[in-house]
This record gives sequence, structure tokens and C-alpha cells, in this order.
Amino acid sequence: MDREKFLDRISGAQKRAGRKIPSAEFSEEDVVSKPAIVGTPLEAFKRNFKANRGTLFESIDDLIKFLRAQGYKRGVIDAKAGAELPELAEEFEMLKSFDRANPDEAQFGVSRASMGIAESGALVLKDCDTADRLTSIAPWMHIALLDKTDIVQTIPEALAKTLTDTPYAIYVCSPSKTADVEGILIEGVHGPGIQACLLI
Amino acid sequence: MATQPIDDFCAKIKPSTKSAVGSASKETTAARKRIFEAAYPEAGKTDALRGIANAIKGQDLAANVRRAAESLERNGVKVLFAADAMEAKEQIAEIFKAEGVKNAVKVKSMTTEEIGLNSFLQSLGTDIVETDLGELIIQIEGEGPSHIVKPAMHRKRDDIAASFERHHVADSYDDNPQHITLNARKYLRKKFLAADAVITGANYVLAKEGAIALITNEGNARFSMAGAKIHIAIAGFEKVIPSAKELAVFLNLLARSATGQHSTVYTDFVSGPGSAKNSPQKMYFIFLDNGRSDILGSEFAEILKCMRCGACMNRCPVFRLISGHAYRATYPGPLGIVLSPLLAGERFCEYADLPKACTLCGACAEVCPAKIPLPDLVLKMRDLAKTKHCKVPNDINFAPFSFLATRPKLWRALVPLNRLANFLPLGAVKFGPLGRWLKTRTLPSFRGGLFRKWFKNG
Repeated sequence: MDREKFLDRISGAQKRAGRKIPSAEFSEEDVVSKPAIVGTPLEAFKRNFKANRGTLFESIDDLIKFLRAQGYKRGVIDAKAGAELPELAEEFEMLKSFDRANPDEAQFGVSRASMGIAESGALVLKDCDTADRLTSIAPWMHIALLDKTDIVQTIPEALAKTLTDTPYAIYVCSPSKTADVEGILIEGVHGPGIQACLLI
Repeated sequence: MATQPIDDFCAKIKPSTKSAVGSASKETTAARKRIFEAAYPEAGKTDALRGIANAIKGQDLAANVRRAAESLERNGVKVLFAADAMEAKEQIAEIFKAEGVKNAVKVKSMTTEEIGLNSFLQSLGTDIVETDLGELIIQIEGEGPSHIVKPAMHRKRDDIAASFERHHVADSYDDNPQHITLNARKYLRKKFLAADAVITGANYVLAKEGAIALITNEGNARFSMAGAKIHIAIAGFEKVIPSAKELAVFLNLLARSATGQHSTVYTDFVSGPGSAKNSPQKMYFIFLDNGRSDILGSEFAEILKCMRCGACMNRCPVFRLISGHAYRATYPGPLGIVLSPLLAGERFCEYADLPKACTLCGACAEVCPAKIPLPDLVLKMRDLAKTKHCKVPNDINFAPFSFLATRPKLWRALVPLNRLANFLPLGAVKFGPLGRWLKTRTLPSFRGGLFRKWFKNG
């Protein structure tokens, strides 16, 4: 259908109904959950990320111990995070790119998070900081490298910075999950069963 | 004389369906309450936030849809407008033809259910696979969703496991829910990576930024958009909100209302073709009308503020007993009672029995995150069905009742006679209109006294 005709139908309906357009003004205070942002942004992020069943590491040594305990041998590191964490390559076979023919080849994927949101404990992954989207979604475990200075306090603050420099961004709160079978919570549906964050 | 279709359905519901739907709805309603109290302990804050959501959804749609279309185009998205379901389906088929799409994956979208997209594309020889676990469970059995958030709510694990084996989603029968999910993971991985195109809906369209927000728990939106080269999104025009700023209101309401989570696991923001490797190189967006502009100009306009969370049906005492398929349309529950007859167009009267599947208790309006006055709309819908002279089978003749109800003295004089109903052998009436009506209803015994008095005493 022609755009103008389509829009005319909408504006015609609005005129017919003759309703006043209400004010939709609101402040950040109206929206933000106060209990969720208690403490510094870093403290709130850590608390909420863990409450969402995220796995948090504050040092590379702790991460390596965890990967070892899982028995992992092979990971993939996103090209845009490639220069970081040289320690991983000393202990694990680290693939540089993702093989589409073999989506389960890497047991864990490492990529950069562009932001952290304290209020929801979410990681923000943007196309501008990610070379390949598959690194963060296909392996069983995803590790996001998050700079502590990139944590914002509230969802409104995050929204103001989400689409400013990238065509695509995603907020990730926890492991991928479903309750589609009898309402039972299962983690690791299409995305990671373990969602981790390494604070740097 | 035939019976009402909704009564026929209710007479045949399996006890397992009843218990599955009833318990899941109750649990989600309780989780919703707990999570809102935890997030907003201040008195009245949740309620105020719902009011803000209502106001945002009541903004100038014509201006915002125009702005959204222009912003999306600026971001490199090809924007199309569809007057009805058929036009939208043909537009998608044309894109598929022009781009050579043979395999497609879909991310759960009620709008595509509403227009019947899957069967249309399959009839043209395209392989289209649902990637949400619940949608996959019902797609392989050729069923429609029974709930807008939990489409397979009516199914039990043994039955899902048998179906997965029969349709080769799994190699063998395994009814452990963890294994059911793992089998779907393995099966759908191949589909994601082999797909030429992905079709999604849009939970919100941001007019200023020219972007859509997609909300999932499973990660299927991200995985599809890391596999396919073409992304087609379709949504009703009422999904447009002014900007990302307003999205803060909805991100704080939607997941809490829908599943009792503080946040949904994944919120994807897509404003055009991707820049990362393994991301769609082309994006199309279709604005759908399909009856919505008529609704916008009518006394039912409030229903367009719905954000499809399912809280109204989870809370509905009727839905809990009869399950979603009883409503025979894409949208069940209190939402469906209002929306389904309106979307049916000329087939309005086929759904004229739906507004009667309501006790007018008002619980749905209490939980609606957009503060839609659902019980008022249900009453208006009953009225519209009468005005349109829909013939509803087994319609009870209320003329004697209205005669008495408008004569208080006569009414009061006759009330004690109700006691006689306790001695009537109503259970023995097995035939005729009354027999059919009583088949799915149990009358309480008459106890007398004033209702106001019982109410006061709890």
C-alpha cells in the first residue's frame, strides 16, 4: 500500500475519534527501581548480574581456574578482543575466527562488552565492538570483557547511549533460558548455558 | 439447535490441559506480583508507571509512524506498508523471490500468527522453521499457540517428547525437559546457520532512532541474526513509540508483567543491516494495518495499547479453566475477547460468543501494564455483538429477567422463591437448550440473605 494512504488511514482514524493526546512526560525517578541501584554502580552491577545467575570473575586467574575445572580445551576469541587476555592462549587452544560449519567447535567464546547496566545487571554488546556475532551466542559459555568504567547506573542512561554508534546492540542479562516445557526453567536454549563477565 | 462453540470446546478439554494451564497461569500471576513489589516498594509507583505506559501508547501515531519510516530508511532499511494480511504475505513472498530465499527461520511473532504467514510461505515451497522452543513444539504438530507468551502452555512433557521423536527433532524418545531443550538446541543450530532469511516481529519500534527492539529469553533473535543474510521485520503500526527514552518504561514493565522476571534475558536493538561479520546485509520492515486503523477510530482504541505480555490471561479465572484454544483465534484471554472479533472483519459474528466468556471480575484490568480498561471493552463488545445482530446459538432469552430487574418491588417479592431452585431436579435435564447449557455449568445452591451482607462478612 502507498505510504501516504496508509498514514491517512491512521490520521483519519485519530481525527474521527477526536481524542486528546495525553502528556507522556516522565522523569528517570518514575522509572528506575530504587532497590536495584543501591550502592555504587559497580556494586549494583555485580549484585544484579549474579542475581540473574551470571558468573562473575574479577581476575583472569579465577577465570582460567573455572575454565580448567569445566574441562574446556578450546575457545574462540573475537577479533576485536584478540589483543587482550594473552594468558588464555597459553593454556587453551584459542581460535581466531568462528567456523560456521562447526558451531560447537569452541567450548567458550570471548568478546568485548561495550557497557554494563547496574540497574538490570545486563551486559551491552554492540556491533561496533564485535567482529562476529556468533562468538557470543553459539558456544556453551560466553565471557564478556567489561571495563569497570563502562558501567552506567540506570536503564534510561544506557538507552541514551545504546544506538549512538552502532546499527545493532543487545542487552544480555543472564544465561539463555526457557520455561516452555511445563514452566520448568532450563538454561542454555540457543545461547550460552553459562553467561560470564570478566571485569577489567 | 447448535451450542456455542466455546461451550463445545469446554466440554471436551482434557484434564491434563486444564491442570497445565491453571497452574502455570497462577504461578506466573504470583511471580508478577512479587517482582513488582520488590522493584517498586513505594506505594503507587507501579501504578503510576502503568499510567505513563498508557499515555505513551496514546501519542500521535500518524506522526510517529511517519517519523519511524523515515528514520528506518535513513538507516538503510527498506520500508513497506501493508493494508491487510494478504498484502503483507505477498510482500514477504516477493522479497523471498527477489532474494532467492529458500530456507527461513522465524523468531516468535504474534503478528505473523495473526496473518497466517507460515502456512502461506510453506504453500509456496519455502521451508520456514519456528525457533522459539514453544513455537517449535506447536509448529511441528500443526497447532496454533494457546497463549501469547507461552505458546505450548497446554502441552505436557511426555507428549512433547513423543512429538519430537515422530518429527525427527530428536533421535529418540526422551521426556526430560533439559534433554528436550538440548535436542531443540542441536536441531535449530543447523537451521539458523542454513537460513537465507530471518523473519521477526518487533516488540517496539523507536520512531526517532529508526530501530526495533526485539525481546527474547532464549537468544533465538540474536542467533537468527547471526546466521541469515536477510532480515524481514513486521509489526502492527501501533508498536511505534516516540524514542528510546520511552522504551525505559516498557523494559521495566514488560518482563515483570509477562513472566515475573526483572528483565528479559535478551533485548536486541536493530536499526538496519548489521556491521559485524555473520549479520544480515539487508533489512526490510513492514508496517501492518490489518484492521488496526478502524480500531483506532472506534471506541475500542485502547486495545491497541496492548504490549502482548499475557498478564491479563494469566490472571483471568475463565482462561485458567478453559485454556487458550477455546478462544479459536490468535489472541486468547481478555485481550482476545476484545481483539479477535475486531480483527475478524466480516467474520465478526463468528466470535460473538467470546465476550460472554468473562465474569467481569476486573482482575485483568488490575494487572494490565498499559492500564487498558479491559472489562469496559468487553461490555462494549457484548453491546456491539447485539447491535450487529449476531445470532449466537443457545443465547438465553433475558427478557423475563430484565422485566423483573426493572421492577424492584416485584423483584423483592419474588426473591424468596429462588429457594425453590434447590429442589428442582436440574441435574436431570439432559436435553434441550437448558440441558446443553447446564452441561458445562454448575449452579450454586441458593443461600438467601443480602449480597451486601455476605460481601461485608467476607
